Amino acid sequence: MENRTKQQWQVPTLETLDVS
Amino acid sequence: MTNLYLVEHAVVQAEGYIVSDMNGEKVMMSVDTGKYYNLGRIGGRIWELIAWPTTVNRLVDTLTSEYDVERPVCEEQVSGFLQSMHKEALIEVINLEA
Repeated sequence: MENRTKQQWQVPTLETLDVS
Repeated sequence: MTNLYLVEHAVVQAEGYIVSDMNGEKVMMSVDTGKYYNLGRIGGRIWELIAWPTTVNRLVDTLTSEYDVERPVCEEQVSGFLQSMHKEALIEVINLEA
Protein backbone atom coordinates (compact mmCIF):
# COMPACT_ATOMS: atom_id res chain seq x y z
CA MET A 1 0.00 0.00 0.00
CA GLU A 2 1.35 3.40 -0.96
CA ASN A 3 2.15 5.55 2.05
CA ARG A 4 4.10 8.37 0.46
CA THR A 5 3.39 11.90 1.68
CA LYS A 6 2.08 13.98 -1.18
CA GLN A 7 3.06 17.57 -1.76
CA GLN A 8 0.63 20.44 -1.37
CA TRP A 9 -1.22 21.31 -4.56
CA GLN A 10 -1.60 24.85 -5.86
CA VAL A 11 -3.55 26.00 -8.88
CA PRO A 12 -1.01 26.28 -11.72
CA THR A 13 -0.94 29.80 -13.10
CA LEU A 14 0.98 31.49 -15.88
CA GLU A 15 2.20 35.00 -15.13
CA THR A 16 3.42 37.07 -18.03
CA LEU A 17 5.47 40.24 -18.09
CA ASP A 18 6.62 42.17 -21.13
CA VAL A 19 10.13 43.11 -20.09
CA SER A 20 10.74 45.58 -22.89
CA MET B 1 -19.14 22.92 -16.99
CA THR B 2 -15.56 21.79 -16.85
CA ASN B 3 -12.97 22.96 -19.32
CA LEU B 4 -11.10 19.85 -20.39
CA TYR B 5 -9.01 21.53 -23.02
CA LEU B 6 -6.43 19.29 -24.66
CA VAL B 7 -7.26 16.21 -22.61
CA GLU B 8 -7.33 14.08 -25.75
CA HIS B 9 -4.02 15.49 -26.98
CA ALA B 10 -0.34 15.21 -26.26
CA VAL B 11 1.72 18.27 -25.41
CA VAL B 12 5.42 19.04 -25.49
CA GLN B 13 7.65 21.99 -24.64
CA ALA B 14 8.09 24.52 -27.42
CA GLU B 15 11.62 25.57 -28.28
CA GLY B 16 13.18 29.00 -28.15
CA TYR B 17 12.94 29.89 -24.47
CA ILE B 18 15.50 30.51 -21.77
CA VAL B 19 14.39 28.63 -18.66
CA SER B 20 15.66 29.01 -15.12
CA ASP B 21 14.71 28.09 -11.56
CA MET B 22 14.14 30.91 -9.09
CA ASN B 23 13.30 29.96 -5.52
CA GLY B 24 11.60 26.78 -6.64
CA GLU B 25 9.60 28.49 -9.37
CA LYS B 26 10.25 28.08 -13.07
CA VAL B 27 10.77 31.29 -14.99
CA MET B 28 11.17 31.60 -18.74
CA MET B 29 11.99 34.28 -21.23
CA SER B 30 11.36 34.48 -24.94
CA VAL B 31 14.26 36.12 -26.72
CA ASP B 32 12.05 36.74 -29.76
CA THR B 33 9.21 38.58 -28.03
CA GLY B 34 10.92 39.91 -24.91
CA LYS B 35 8.23 38.34 -22.78
CA TYR B 36 8.98 36.88 -19.39
CA TYR B 37 6.90 34.10 -17.86
CA ASN B 38 6.62 32.77 -14.34
CA LEU B 39 5.18 29.27 -14.30
CA GLY B 40 5.25 28.99 -10.53
CA ARG B 41 6.04 25.80 -8.64
CA ILE B 42 3.34 23.51 -10.04
CA GLY B 43 3.65 24.98 -13.53
CA GLY B 44 7.37 24.36 -13.37
CA ARG B 45 6.77 20.71 -12.56
CA ILE B 46 4.33 20.46 -15.47
CA TRP B 47 6.99 22.01 -17.72
CA GLU B 48 9.50 19.36 -16.63
CA LEU B 49 7.00 16.58 -17.31
CA ILE B 50 6.40 17.69 -20.90
CA ALA B 51 10.04 17.73 -21.96
CA TRP B 52 8.94 14.93 -24.28
CA PRO B 53 5.50 14.53 -25.89
CA THR B 54 3.14 13.48 -23.11
CA THR B 55 -0.58 12.92 -23.10
CA VAL B 56 -2.55 15.13 -20.75
CA ASN B 57 -3.99 12.04 -19.10
CA ARG B 58 -0.52 10.75 -18.32
CA LEU B 59 0.48 14.18 -17.07
CA VAL B 60 -2.49 14.21 -14.69
CA ASP B 61 -1.65 10.66 -13.57
CA THR B 62 1.82 11.80 -12.53
CA LEU B 63 0.63 14.97 -10.83
CA THR B 64 -2.08 13.22 -8.81
CA SER B 65 0.52 10.71 -7.63
CA GLU B 66 2.85 13.49 -6.48
CA TYR B 67 0.40 16.08 -5.17
CA ASP B 68 -2.56 16.04 -2.82
CA VAL B 69 -5.28 16.81 -5.34
CA GLU B 70 -8.35 14.98 -6.64
CA ARG B 71 -8.12 13.90 -10.25
CA PRO B 72 -11.11 15.89 -11.62
CA VAL B 73 -9.78 19.06 -10.01
CA CYS B 74 -6.27 18.43 -11.28
CA GLU B 75 -7.51 17.64 -14.78
CA GLU B 76 -9.54 20.83 -15.02
CA GLN B 77 -6.87 23.11 -13.61
CA VAL B 78 -4.06 21.59 -15.64
CA SER B 79 -6.07 21.83 -18.85
CA GLY B 80 -6.73 25.50 -18.14
CA PHE B 81 -3.04 26.06 -17.49
CA LEU B 82 -2.11 24.30 -20.73
CA GLN B 83 -4.60 26.46 -22.59
CA SER B 84 -2.79 29.56 -21.31
CA MET B 85 0.55 28.04 -22.29
CA HIS B 86 -0.74 27.18 -25.74
CA LYS B 87 -2.00 30.73 -26.31
CA GLU B 88 1.48 32.02 -25.54
CA ALA B 89 3.04 29.37 -27.83
CA LEU B 90 4.97 27.90 -24.91
CA ILE B 91 3.85 24.39 -25.80
CA GLU B 92 3.16 22.44 -28.96
CA VAL B 93 0.04 20.32 -29.22
CA ILE B 94 0.00 16.96 -30.95
CA ASN B 95 -3.33 15.60 -32.13
CA LEU B 96 -3.23 11.89 -31.40
CA GLU B 97 -5.97 11.14 -33.91
CA ALA B 98 -3.99 12.56 -36.82
